[in-house]
Amino acid sequence: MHINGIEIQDTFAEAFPMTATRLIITAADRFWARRAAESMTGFATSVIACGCEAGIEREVAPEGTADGRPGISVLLFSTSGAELEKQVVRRVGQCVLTCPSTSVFSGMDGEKQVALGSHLRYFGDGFQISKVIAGKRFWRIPVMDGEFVCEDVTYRVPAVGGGNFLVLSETLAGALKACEAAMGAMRQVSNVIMPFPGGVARSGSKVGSKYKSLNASTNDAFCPTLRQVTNTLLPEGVGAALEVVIDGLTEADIVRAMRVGIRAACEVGGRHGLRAVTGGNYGGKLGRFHFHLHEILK
Amino acid sequence: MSSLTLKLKLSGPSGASSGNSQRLNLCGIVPHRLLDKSIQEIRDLELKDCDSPAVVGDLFEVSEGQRDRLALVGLKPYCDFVGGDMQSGWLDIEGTVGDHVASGMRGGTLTIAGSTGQYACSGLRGGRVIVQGNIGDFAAAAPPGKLTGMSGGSFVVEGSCGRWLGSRMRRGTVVINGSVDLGCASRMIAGTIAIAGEVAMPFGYGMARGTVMLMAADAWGKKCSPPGFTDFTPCESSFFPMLVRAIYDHAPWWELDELLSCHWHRALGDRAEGGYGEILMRATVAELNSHRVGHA
Repeated sequence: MHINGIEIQDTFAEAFPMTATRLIITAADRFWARRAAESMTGFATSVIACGCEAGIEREVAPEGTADGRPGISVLLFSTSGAELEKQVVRRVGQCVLTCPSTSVFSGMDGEKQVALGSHLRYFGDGFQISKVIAGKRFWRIPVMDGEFVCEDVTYRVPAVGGGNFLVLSETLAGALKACEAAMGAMRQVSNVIMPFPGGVARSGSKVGSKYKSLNASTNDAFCPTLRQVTNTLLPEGVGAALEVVIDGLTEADIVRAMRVGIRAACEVGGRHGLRAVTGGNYGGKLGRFHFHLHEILK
Repeated sequence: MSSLTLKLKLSGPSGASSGNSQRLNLCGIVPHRLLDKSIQEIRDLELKDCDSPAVVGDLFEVSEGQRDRLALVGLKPYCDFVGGDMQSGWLDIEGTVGDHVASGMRGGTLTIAGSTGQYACSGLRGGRVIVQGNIGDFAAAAPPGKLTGMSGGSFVVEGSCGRWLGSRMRRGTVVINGSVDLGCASRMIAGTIAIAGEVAMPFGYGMARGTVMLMAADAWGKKCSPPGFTDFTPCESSFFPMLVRAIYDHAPWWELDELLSCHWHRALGDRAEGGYGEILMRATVAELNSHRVGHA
């Protein structure tokens, strides 16, 4: 298969089950809402060492938020409900509660709860106030700029982590152009985040290592500097590979994001030396979700 | 299809219409209990705890209608426990009723085109109650033998209210359009009471938690804080617009934009009891500034 003259390899991206929640952070204006969201979703690129994967999903207009102020929607993904709850409480407590004028609300419904204000309320040292509005409990925690308002719980749902595709380009500059185009298109898709810096990872990994203490190491098959000494998967003429990683609430969301991302990359990348697009997988042994590129782009 | 209608007869076998000497307990005459019943079965329903044994047919004329919407017509002040144990549907009341309206009610909507006696909504746990007239003493308050009053749902009163509104109220929202007599929110545990009219002093005595909102546009300057409370001071919170919207959803008697743009002064108490109940009083920007200048 080819799009705009660029080869789409007949392979699949391999993803695995996760659990996810959505939070809506509001503030006096967009500037402060975004500062809190960026802080909260920092150091959340991979569950391998960050505890969760998180990112900004979209901006929310004042009409769409619980307190009528500008908001930012963030998604957090983790491998278990317990770890997700730990990360939510820590990150909201250190990055949102601390940010001037902010409030935080649950952004989704579900059957399984994740503690939010029910833990953070203790910061109020007994001065906190609980209020129930339309069946939802909120906590009002006194802080130095007034009150930090926080919903009692948020909810989590089953999700998919690790959807991906790789752009294989003649040059690093060309690979970056293709990825930037892909990210521009994928940011319009709801229910997904791309947790790596700018949405893109340059250090794709394989399972295992020659060092016993590591369970992941550099994906040497896609390293251009190792072309001569390893079983390379890079086509002739390719000088750089970058990986776009996607977490989504459902398989369909990942498919949608991959589709628009790959098409945008091919549209722009053709002028900048993009040779091929492929998928990252581990032979089907790691995750039960397989996204076949040809099926996605049919 | 119209409502299933029960119209109180002027004279029943129990002599219930003869005055206040006898009481009618209408607990359980609610839509969800009548869903699968025929007209005859409804007529044969026993009324519990009445002074004399009676069935619905003895006291009411029953007219066919949709089962999830019940109308009780011509009720009198000796009719107690109206809407008791209601769980769903609509119950429309025509007439002034007695005590303990909505006792044990968990869901549905109860409207009363008239006034009520004492302990209205004291046992309300969920659902929505709207009274177009006035309500008596101890509304939403703990009834005799109970530690807490209203524990959920919303209670909207278009008229005025007697004494001890919300005493030991546990949860839920009460909105009063008219004035409220003394003792409001005494020993209140939690929940929200919004009052559009005047509030008689003293109120908030022994208040532990919960919120009383003084919504009148001219509230500022008319009211010093009650005994045991801190002075009113300007207070900002992103929660206030949420609270205002919730009140407006129950009772859209104000201009929403005006409410959302107004500022609030807050007093906390009853400090004599170690309480952190809050009284919020509406204020304009000018009033807010005058307060700040006054305290500079």
